[in-house]
Amino acid sequence: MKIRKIAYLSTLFAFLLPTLVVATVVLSYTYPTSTTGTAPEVYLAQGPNYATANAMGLFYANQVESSGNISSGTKIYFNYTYGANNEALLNVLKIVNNVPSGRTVTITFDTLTLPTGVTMYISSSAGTELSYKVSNGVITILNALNNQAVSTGNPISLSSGTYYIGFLFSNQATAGSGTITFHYEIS
Amino acid sequence: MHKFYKMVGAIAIILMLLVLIPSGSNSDVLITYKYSSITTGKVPCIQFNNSTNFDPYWLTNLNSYKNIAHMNLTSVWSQDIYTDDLGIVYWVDNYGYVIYSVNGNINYIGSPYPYNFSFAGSVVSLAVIDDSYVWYVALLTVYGYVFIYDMNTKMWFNATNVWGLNLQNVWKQYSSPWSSIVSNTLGDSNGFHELFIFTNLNGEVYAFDTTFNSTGGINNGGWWNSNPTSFKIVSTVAYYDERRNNIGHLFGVSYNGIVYKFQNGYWTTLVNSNLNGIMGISIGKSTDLPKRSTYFNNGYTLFIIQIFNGTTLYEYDRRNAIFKNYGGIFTIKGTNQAISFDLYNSYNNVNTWYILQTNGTIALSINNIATAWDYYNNFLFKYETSTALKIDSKCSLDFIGSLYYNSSIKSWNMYNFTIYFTSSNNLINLEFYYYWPTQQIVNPATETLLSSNNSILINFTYMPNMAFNSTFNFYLILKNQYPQNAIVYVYNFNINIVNHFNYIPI
Repeated sequence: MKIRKIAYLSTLFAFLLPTLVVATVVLSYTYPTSTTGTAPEVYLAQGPNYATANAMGLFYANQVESSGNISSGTKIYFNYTYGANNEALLNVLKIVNNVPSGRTVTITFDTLTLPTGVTMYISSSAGTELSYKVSNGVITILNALNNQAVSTGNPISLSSGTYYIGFLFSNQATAGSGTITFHYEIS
Repeated sequence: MHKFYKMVGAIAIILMLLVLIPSGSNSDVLITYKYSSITTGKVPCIQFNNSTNFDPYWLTNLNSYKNIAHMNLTSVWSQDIYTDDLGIVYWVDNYGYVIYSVNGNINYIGSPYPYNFSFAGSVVSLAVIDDSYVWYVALLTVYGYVFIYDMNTKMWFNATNVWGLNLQNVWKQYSSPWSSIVSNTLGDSNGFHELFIFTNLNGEVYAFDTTFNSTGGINNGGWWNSNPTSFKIVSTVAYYDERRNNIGHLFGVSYNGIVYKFQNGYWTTLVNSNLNGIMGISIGKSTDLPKRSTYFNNGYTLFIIQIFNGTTLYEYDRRNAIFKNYGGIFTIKGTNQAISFDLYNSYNNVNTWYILQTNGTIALSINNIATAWDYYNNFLFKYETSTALKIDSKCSLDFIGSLYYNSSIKSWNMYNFTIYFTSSNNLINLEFYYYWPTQQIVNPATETLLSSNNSILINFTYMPNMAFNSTFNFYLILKNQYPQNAIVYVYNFNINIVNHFNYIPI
């Protein structure tokens, strides 16, 4: 009997509530609408070392000149070099966060299926470029978030400013293809 | 009816949630990006160029594969020693540099190779004919090329061409390394022919008679055996038993200690020495065996040496068919490589053994019984490679390179070992340094410029000493000069420093 009452009231609420609201205030406005592109406040762009890596033929990610960002769907090409045991391309991309302070921006990498042996790093704080050290022939990326490669599913809180992205090719790197997807939320 | 209400209630709750969830999120903006990435291997603008190296065993695939960057670097080592008909001692390194000593006075002949001898291979053996007709210092290479230094004209000539030798064709056909050249030392004293006798690892034997036709005739020469065997002969010795009808003898020995005698065109087993690691065979005067126990009844018998440090000579006791210790330990300074006995002075009762060690040290016995030894110390000084490896840049950017030590096997048995980089602006930078006497290991990893469209040269200096075949691993780290923190390459080098021919299974 109790369930029946709740169900009845819920159904009534769900179906009738909009009707009740409309019925309470009857106002009518007309707005013209249009859709235009605008530069995003948070976006991916070529990093300070992009030109260097690109000049070496090691990295390519086309940037929309008008907005300065790399559009979704863009193919990012990066090459490891024959003969090298380890290779790092640092600060070749950046994520720019132009959202005014006071608002919270989180970015989450949803998919990061890079080819075997390739890992991606993002700097630990705004304005900090990635660096490296080499020990026993192995490159370690410095100034990286959590001192490790980017992983999927973990929201990263971004301060205002620029975060830098680099790639590390281990001695296991192989040719292949992959996908990088991320989304950001502003609240 | 009860079920119906339940179902309607559930649908209603879901609808409420659908309406409420968006307003429950704190996000005002949610934007998703998706990128696809493609990784490919790239032929680098930095290329490793080994054309400056003249070592035929050099292998590198730095430009082809990832994570595989092995190199074999044939070092220089003293390879063979020979005492001629007049007691003059000659020795040669595997790069063909010949030195000789007349009564202790050292003279340099030099090498027949002006620079590049990869076509001929490293020198494996040396022999000399010094008689009234000719005075030839002959070098045999692993591929079967023969180069002669005419001591009278002070000129080198390519005997393969001038004499029409075809030993190199055996290499081409069977890949059987040539291993030994001897002359019939003193065999000419009674007017017999002076021959150079060449033997390869498979026991094929070719002789060239220089006596009456020094520019092409073979007389008593020619192919004495052209049927490959499985005997793996690494060293030979010839002897004319002038006191027994001037019969010529040729003996060979394998690394695993089997001594063979060459007779009527065939190698036959003389005796198994039961010694391993045999590098050289000679014929000398025994002072402790009765003449009935020596191979020849004039007191001369076969002697062999092992490669190992801390060993003695071994002499052949024919009656007991064994090789026994002779003399005292001579090998205190390096790896034993070759032996020669001074027959000329022995006939005046001065018995001297010369034992060459890979680091250039020569142990020479200073009494007739080989229990006391003197040394010519390290005539093979540290060797400087011309340019072991060249790194060419076709990049549009300048790079900085440094070398970092990784690991090694046996490298610390070398006397010294250094690696230098020559930068694009011609600065010679020390990258690594090792010095055995002080056990000093230094890796300054000096930053070296590899400018755009220019090169870095890698040079090694080393004295292998007791290193045998050693392995040295290092990293070459190249980073672009400007801007910093852009591109870093780490190349992994594995250098096998070969200190013996690969047919010596050590």
